[in-house]
Amino acid sequence: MRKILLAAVVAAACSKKAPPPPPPESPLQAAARSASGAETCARAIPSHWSPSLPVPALDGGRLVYKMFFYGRDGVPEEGFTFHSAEADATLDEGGRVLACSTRAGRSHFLPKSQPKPGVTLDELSRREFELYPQIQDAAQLYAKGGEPAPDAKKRVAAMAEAFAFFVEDGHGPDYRALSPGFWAWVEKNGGRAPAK
Amino acid sequence: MSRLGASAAILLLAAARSAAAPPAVSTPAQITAAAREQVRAGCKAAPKSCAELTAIEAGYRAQLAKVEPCEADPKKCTPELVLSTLHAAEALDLREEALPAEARAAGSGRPLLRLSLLLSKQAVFAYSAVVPDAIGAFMDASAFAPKDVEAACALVPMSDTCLDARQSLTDAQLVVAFADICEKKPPSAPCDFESLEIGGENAEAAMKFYERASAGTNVMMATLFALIKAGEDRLSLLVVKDLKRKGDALEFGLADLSSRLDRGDAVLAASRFNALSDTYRKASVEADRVSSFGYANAADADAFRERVNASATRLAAVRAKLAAASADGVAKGLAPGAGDAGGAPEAIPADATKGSPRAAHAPPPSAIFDRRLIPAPPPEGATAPPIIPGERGALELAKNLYSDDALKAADAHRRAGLSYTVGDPAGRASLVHTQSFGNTCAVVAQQQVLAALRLVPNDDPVKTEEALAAEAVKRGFFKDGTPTAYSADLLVDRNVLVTKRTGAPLAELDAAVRRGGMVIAAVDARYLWNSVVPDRIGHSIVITGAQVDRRGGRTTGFYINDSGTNPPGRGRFIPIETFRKAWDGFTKNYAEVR
Repeated sequence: MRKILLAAVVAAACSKKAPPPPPPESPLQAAARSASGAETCARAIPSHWSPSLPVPALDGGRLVYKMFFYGRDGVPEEGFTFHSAEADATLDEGGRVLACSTRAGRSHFLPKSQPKPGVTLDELSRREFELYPQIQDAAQLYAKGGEPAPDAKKRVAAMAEAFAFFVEDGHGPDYRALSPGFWAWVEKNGGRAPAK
Repeated sequence: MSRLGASAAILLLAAARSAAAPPAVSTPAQITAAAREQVRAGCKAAPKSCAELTAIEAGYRAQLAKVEPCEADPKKCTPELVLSTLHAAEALDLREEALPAEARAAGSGRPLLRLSLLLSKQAVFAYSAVVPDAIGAFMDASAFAPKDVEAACALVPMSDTCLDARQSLTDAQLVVAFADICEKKPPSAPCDFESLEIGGENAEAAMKFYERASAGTNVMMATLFALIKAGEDRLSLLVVKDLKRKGDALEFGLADLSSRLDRGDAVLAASRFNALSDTYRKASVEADRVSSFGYANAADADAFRERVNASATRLAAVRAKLAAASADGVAKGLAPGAGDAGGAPEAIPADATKGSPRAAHAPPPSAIFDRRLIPAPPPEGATAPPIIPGERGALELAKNLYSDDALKAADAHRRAGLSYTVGDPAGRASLVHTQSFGNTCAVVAQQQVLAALRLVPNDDPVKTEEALAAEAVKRGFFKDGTPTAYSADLLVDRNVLVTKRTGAPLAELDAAVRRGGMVIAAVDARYLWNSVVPDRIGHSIVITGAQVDRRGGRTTGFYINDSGTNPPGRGRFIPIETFRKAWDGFTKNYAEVR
């Protein structure tokens, strides 16, 4: 009887389906995630450094994305203390790395990182996945110039809120410095820039 | 012809792989207006030169009027017309240079010079419209880049912009000169990769200074940009040739080695093996470096890495044959090598820290064949540390088989004999220790491989970690951490055969793990440590084995050695769906020890 029961349970267990694959990430998200291992970054950026979110910027009229990398101290059991920006990269719209370099001078420690309350890793991942199209939408509006329509301003504001969720305490100045013009435009159009 | 040749380089702006577009510039109307203004001012300042100044300016405008319609309607022009325009412009340039300083308006950016450059640009566009295939022949911007720089410096003299522009020009000229030398070298004595790498660094510096200078002026230093791009293109071609040469040498050497082995000539094959594994080492290092050159063609770099990886696989197969031949090799004249099973691992030699990343590491100790580099095959019936410690009753086991908790399900499957272990998680579990520094995860990962191969001592793992980190710093593989390009280079440096990939899908990593060797993988460790922070946490771990479902053959999870926790993860089981998230969340790069 026990063997029949076991066999039935095994059959049921083995028939469990694998979870559906996650939706494909955008080229920009893929590029930002893996930038430290790409092209000129692969020689300059320590592989354990964390990548920031990309921020739209205009370079001679051309839309690019700028991001930074940062190291950390601490252990998983006690939590991490992240550093201020220690390296920079510029990506084109397709996610190709255009430039990558480490910063001269010393970085500083941020306040100790705190886990987001009531949020799981899967939730973080989902939010980040949803943020990228918002960033790209805002980027297009920014590059186009002129006054965005009211519904576009709402999208800009929503993007800024979603973006702020991911900004560590103390990284606000680093994000602002990536593209001051973009953040000024965001603030002008109803959103908020990362804290100074 | 030189003016056309130099000016044609401007067209590289449109066609070249561009690291940075040239900055926005004054419009043709503004340039023409500024030139007219210079004539008025120059006539006042130097009345004796007024007639000449007026004639030169009129001459540029007349030539401009000839070529401006060509791009829109090539039928209106002929190649001879465009070439005659450029020849006329060259003559006008000489007359402009002969003007006295007050007439040249040097203090206001030499508008006539800018008009001349505008004419060059329009003529080149016109020529490309009239003779579309001809421009490829005109690649030399050397003559006109100094003029671009001079124009920028005239506008902002004694400024950082001027200094940056001049530095960029110097670096670009170095690259071009170096490319000239290397292109003339015979195939038997090419420029070595280390020199090409230095050339590449000069090209990167030239572009960096160009970008800084461009930000400080609205003079369009188009020919300087073109000169840098032309230098990069030539270096890129030289690098591709070098890669092809090394790839061919590896593959030819492997074919030769295999045929010697097949003929039973194990002694000669062993010495050829050592030489070939040294070629592999250099090629592997080059494959890493090239993939991180901004100007190198990514497809060529990827293709070369694939050739190197394939060579590592074939070398491993040949090595296995050699090992079999040398096992009873005394009779065949093949002496056992140093470091055979039972031999003590060598201490990290003091002089192993010398040299730049480009210098060759000391070769393995003298032996016909270094058997230490052969990883021990994974045991039959491999075992692993418990997925969940403790005893389980049959009913709990049955219940857990169906659990949504992936750890419980995997544990139950294993206990019930419904899955099996590949690799050697139990045997490799003791290789790991908690890393001493926040940035030495990749060093400790490599340390585990070296310890498994008995290439480094591990009785004091912290001391070994420190020594390896110091070695990595001095070899250029480590600065605040290990950049991806240098991952596993402590292994490659010792002629360990490693295949490396970046951007690999999980299925490929799975296939590598299922071959049974040790695999170093870069992951987003938030999913391993359940660290719920918005920051991706990059970390290197060693995959020591996998658990595979007997029915269906699906991998249910990996066993990892994780130096990032205290105590370290020793053969810790990670369910495959959790690992997938950690894998997909980062650079997806791994190194498999063959």
